Amino acid sequence: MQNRKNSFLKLETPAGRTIKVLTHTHPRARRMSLTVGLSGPKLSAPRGTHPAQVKAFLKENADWLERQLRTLEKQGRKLAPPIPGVRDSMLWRGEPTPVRWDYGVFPSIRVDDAGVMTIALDLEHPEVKLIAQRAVRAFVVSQMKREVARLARIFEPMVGKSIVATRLLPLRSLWGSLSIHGRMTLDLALMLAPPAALEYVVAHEMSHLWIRNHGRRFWQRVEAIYPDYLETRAWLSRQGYGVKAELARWIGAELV
Amino acid sequence: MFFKNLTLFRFPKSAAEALGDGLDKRLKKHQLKPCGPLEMQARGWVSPFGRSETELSHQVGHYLLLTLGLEDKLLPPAVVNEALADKLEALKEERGKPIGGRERKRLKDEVLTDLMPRAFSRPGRLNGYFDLKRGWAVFDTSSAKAAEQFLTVLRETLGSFVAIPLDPGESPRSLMTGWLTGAKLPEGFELGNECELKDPADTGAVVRAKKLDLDTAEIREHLKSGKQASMLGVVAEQRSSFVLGEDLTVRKLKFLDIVTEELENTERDSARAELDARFALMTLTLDSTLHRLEDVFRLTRPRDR
Repeated sequence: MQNRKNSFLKLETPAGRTIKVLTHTHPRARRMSLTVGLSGPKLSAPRGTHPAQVKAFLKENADWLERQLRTLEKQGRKLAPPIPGVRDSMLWRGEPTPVRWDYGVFPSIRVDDAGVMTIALDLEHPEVKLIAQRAVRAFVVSQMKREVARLARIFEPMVGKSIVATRLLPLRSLWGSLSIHGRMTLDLALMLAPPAALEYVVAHEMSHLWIRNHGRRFWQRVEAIYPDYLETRAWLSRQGYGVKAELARWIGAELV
Repeated sequence: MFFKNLTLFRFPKSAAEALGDGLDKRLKKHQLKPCGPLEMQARGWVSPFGRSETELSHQVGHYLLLTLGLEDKLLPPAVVNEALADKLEALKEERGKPIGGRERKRLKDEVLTDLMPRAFSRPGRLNGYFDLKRGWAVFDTSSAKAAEQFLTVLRETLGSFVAIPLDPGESPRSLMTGWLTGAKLPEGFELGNECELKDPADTGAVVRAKKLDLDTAEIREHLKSGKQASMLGVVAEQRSSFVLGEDLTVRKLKFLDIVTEELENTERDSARAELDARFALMTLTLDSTLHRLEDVFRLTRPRDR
């Protein structure tokens, strides 16, 4: 751990499974943390942590790690990317939405009243797959921008402060964050989850305009502006990676 | 004094009131003082009318013009490093051993203290106007950092001043791409002859076109492959042309002949009258453009708490 910033460790679980964990030292890390993202398990540790401590920490959390990986597998991690021209379905606002492909000079996407998504593009273009990914990403961003602006207008009078700017990106494990200057970053995958997920994350981040930490007072504030937060938060922990995987499948994202 | 670039902010009604009574007195307290011998920069208010004038603000209707004076010392890092290397060399020979980090830092401070009084000061001015009725703060720069500096000095002057950058409710990229692919432009807007197209992925390809009809096969090919407009040349109401960025920064703002001709028809017998006429004409021309941008991109004015 002292010499190499990134390395892989092999972990034998009690169930007899071997898991490769990316270990990573971070200058600002104050404690060890284990996360499971779409690219696999990752362990962050403060600089100078002894390898034996890392191994012990992993061993301690082996059961938890195995459970998380099983959940991910059940939720369909590493789904096959869509093939333009072949009927498919996409999770959109929490509902599996049939996707129809159409010919269009310029890429465009619309969702009609019957809940069918039509992706129009030049299906004979040699880079049609890449064009489809760009079109889906642009569509998700534009729809989300509108939705976030609507939600911010609802929560602003309750919070009493405004967001300075919003940034919409595919994120690896976070759902959102708020910078010290009041800039809110949100995960694009929230548009694929039920509308309540985006509502909760916006309410959560805007509550950070009051209180920057995740203490008891913070959660009281979140509850005051979004009473059903526990239910939505639990949904995100249970189904979240499935939604992120679905977005990655459609936009071919390198998740940051 | 026509602005060449615009960085836009919005402010609530209460902030507009703070710019009202007693502003000149407050501005005088924060007037630009020349950069001291050991200061790297100085910021403060100067007269929008020029060096010899004393008034620190100018108001036409509900538009208030302020000018921030800037002075920055020019001390290139190469000069500092050279002087530091000379000192280190001399000290190393004298002591016969290498110089430690702490000593090196102390020597660098000494070099800076020695060179700063001899450095040139580069003067500059940054104009900004405030639409007190609609809550627009408009700065003559394309740099958000420079605009923030202006606001920081204004906050120091007034105690507090709430102004936030634009946060559009509609994605500018999607809308501007739509205009290029045939969607109707907002009333009074026409396509210019410049654009920048980007791959939606952050690390994607960038294509820049200048002096080119945007309704051509070349541009269409890029749009067909899914690239999106991140900057777009626009002609607004036949009165001004500019390049609109996806962050809604306005660059290369030009007022067209129809506007400058109006200026020639007015009587201006002094520099003060000239500035007054230009400011009035510019704010009136930009007023409808900003109003249009507000509608199209859903740029809401922050509310009072």
